[in-house]
Amino acid sequence: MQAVSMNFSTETAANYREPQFGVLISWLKNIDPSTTFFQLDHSHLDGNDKLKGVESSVSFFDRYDYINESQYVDSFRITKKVSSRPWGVITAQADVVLNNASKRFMPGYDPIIGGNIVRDRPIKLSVGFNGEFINLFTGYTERPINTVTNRKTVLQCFDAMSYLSNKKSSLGTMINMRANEIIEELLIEQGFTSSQFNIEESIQQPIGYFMPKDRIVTEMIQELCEAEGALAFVDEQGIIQWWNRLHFIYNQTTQWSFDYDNTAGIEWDTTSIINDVSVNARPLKPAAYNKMFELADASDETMIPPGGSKDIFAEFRDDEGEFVAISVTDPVYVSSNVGTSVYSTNLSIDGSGAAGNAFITLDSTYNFGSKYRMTFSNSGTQPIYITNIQLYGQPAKVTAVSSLPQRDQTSIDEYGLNPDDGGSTIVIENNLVQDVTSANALGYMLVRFFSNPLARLTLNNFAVPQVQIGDSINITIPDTAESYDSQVMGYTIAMDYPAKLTQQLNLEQRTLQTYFQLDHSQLDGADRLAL
Amino acid sequence: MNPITLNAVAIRQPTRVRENQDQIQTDQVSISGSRQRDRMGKKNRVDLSWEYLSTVEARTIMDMFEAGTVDYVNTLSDATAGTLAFTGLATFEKSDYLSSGDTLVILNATILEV
Repeated sequence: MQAVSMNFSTETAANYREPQFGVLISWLKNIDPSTTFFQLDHSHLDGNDKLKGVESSVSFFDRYDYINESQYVDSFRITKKVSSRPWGVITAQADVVLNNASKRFMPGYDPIIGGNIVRDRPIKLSVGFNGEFINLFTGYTERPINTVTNRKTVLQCFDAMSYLSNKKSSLGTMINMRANEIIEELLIEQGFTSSQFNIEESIQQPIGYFMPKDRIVTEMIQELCEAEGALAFVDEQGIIQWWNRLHFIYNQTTQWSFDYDNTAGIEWDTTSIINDVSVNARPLKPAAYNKMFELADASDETMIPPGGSKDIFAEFRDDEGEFVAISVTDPVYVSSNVGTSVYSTNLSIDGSGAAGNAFITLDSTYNFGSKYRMTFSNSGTQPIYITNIQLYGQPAKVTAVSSLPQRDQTSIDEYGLNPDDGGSTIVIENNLVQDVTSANALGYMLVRFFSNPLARLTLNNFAVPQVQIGDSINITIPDTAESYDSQVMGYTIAMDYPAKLTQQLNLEQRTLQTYFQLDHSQLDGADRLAL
Repeated sequence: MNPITLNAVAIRQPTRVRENQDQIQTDQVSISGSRQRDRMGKKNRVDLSWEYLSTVEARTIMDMFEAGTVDYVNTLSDATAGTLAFTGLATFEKSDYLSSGDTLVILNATILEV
């Protein structure tokens, strides 16, 4: 639940409300160095203060100079939803319709912004009561769509996760780093400061080997989420959140309650039944400095032409398959093995000729991870063969990890084996799962949560704008005298004419559990040991 | 003195005037019948009818409507029990000539506050 003042909460629940909304767009994408920030109970949207992230931090988006376009807004709609699995990367989407009767948003028309009616403009959407506003969305616009006939400009917008989905990392190998540390490094590389993200601690062991270079940031975060059972998303203020798999368990205090008095419609469904899961991984673990590659025989492929050069590739493999080199000692010429990286040369393919090593130079090397490139040049007048290469370094080798079968036999007897997933065991394969305990925990979590059908409800409720993903919500159904403890797995909030503030919440029932916490729980108490 | 002016111009007074306010609000009704109202304010609206105008008089009024926004003032408004003044955008409809002898028309217009 977003932090709001008591006045805001009271207004939210009132039978008569006067909602206001704000749409701020940084068409020019100028950085405003004199930014001052909006304070609850002190600032108004038409003042000079900016809406910022949580009180203690300034989000990535706060640095821009925004133009208040609220007076031109016909409607907006914001959607954010977790997938059917309780992990992964969530991207929020917003659709904004601007009234363009004045032609303000026609490309090239307005003298100030006309040249900037283009994609990737920072945008913030907010709603408030009595001049007190909260952000609902912070992100970037896609290409604006203009229609002359109905004089509308439509903006489709995505949050910073979309921004990161276009960014590749240049970072090098990461060794024995926890998932949260990896994500922090990735975000800092992309220009975020530590106050612009909130990354919870990883639950599993450090990841032995991780190579971000040339990979898309969002894809890496997605992979880390699956390995941890974690959720990544950008909150309403533009702060990147990464919740570990215990987040929901430690945040079960009911934050808002709904019943027939504040709900216009309720739709029931049930969660998919998952009662048999296994998790497999082949993580790479750093090993001791050792010999990683040997070329024993010369061939035409290792012949360096006179006056020319040639790339020779070493591929790192062992009985478990491909592995990667964390570091490689560049080979030097020797005539015999000395226990480090070396190469040998000869004028004859069978090694029976003169060495010719005076004409051979190792010009450069490059470690691709599972491959290693050596570029040799030959300054002589005869072909010279590389007859032997031995490469030493620190490898990261594959370790096979398989979870114990995570199964709920009672559920299988009652509903069949994974009836919503084709009747076969769900196999999760993710090489960032580092150990059997984590693999077991991941499978256990799914089976524990979903082996029995739980209520999945779609509420068309009296809008509570401060509700966020993960909030604990209680729903009372008077017809059956039942009460559901649930968590927000998605929402749509919209503002339309006339003053139509609507919200739809996607809720999933959760079995409330307490988990053992150091310094809080007693071993003979009711708390469970968390995996 | 004529109470109604358009753009501060004394015009032929309409034969029917209906002044009202569009309420910018939406009510949501819960399953149990509870009601929540979201409201952003109100906008003035006036429906005017002239029976009859000469074509010259009609043209004068229509020219004002066609020129852009129009400032409506009624010093004897029943909506405010006083003066109603606002700037609005007009839509209008003019009838055909009513007789072959005179060139009279009926003009109906609605002005919505901007």
